Amino acid sequence: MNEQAVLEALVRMRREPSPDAPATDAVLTPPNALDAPRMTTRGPRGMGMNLTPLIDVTFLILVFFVCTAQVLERETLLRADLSEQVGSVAVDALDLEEPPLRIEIRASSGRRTIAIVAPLPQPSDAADLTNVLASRRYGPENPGGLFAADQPIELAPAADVSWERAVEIFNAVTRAGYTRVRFASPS
Amino acid sequence: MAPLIDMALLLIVFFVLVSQLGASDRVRMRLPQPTPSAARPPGREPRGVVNVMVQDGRIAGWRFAGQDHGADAAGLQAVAEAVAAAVRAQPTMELHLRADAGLPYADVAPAIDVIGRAAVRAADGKPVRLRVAVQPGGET
Repeated sequence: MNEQAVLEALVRMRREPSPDAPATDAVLTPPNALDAPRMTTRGPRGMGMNLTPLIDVTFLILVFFVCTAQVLERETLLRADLSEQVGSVAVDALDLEEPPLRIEIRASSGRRTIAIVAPLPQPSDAADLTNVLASRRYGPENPGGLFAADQPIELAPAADVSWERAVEIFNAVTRAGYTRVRFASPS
Repeated sequence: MAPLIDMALLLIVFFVLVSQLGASDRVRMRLPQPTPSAARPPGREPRGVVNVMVQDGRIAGWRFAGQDHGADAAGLQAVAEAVAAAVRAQPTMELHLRADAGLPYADVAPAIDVIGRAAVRAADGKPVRLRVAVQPGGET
């Protein structure tokens, strides 16, 4: 049996489907299916891949990730120092660490609420505190500064000061360029 | 039709998991909002989030790693132990402190002190980073 005979047998089988074959096969397969050029992605059994739902789902996932990323970025962080808050750290006798600069925060509205425990100009508000501390920070642009950027600074809010006010002062010190800011242990 | 249903179910599972993670990590509260802020967005380091729970303007407890603890000394000690265990497991962990802006400092200070000491001891001398969560604008 040569190739021509095999092809004719296949064509005859297509044109005369068996009685057991499903009706859909007979409908989906045109009589001249083997002769027609294959211009679509349909497989030999009439099944194709519809990409539309896949693209829809992909866009849904994309939108979800965009929304989630925006939510996550809304919360930001201030860096606090924990290095001095444990008593079991071994102390190096040759380590000439500067004592922390202490800033006290009070809640009373009548008096000054921010006090630097040092012979420095006393600030009137958080922005003023940033200016005072930034002008005393040593650096190439300010060689006459008193404190290095890693000078430990300890914030001591009073017990009735709100967390919002304490963080506002913490933020003001951080904005002045100091990197080792911590909250004092409660007395 | 079957692949579409499969994808829909997968999406539902994904949404449920993500919402649970977010809920356990970040309790809804009004965070402090300093202006202009020197805060930075979170990095890629592993993090442990300590939430100070608030009710009627007073501290109501602590939440760490999805576990709630009471506002008393035993609850604080339990949080400190959980934080220490987490830091031992992941020494590069950052601790994020989330507290409501209206709380008095006296309610937040014990967390900074006790949890900070426990974390530093667990890290065995390595630096432990504490981050204070703030809000650039609006509520979480």
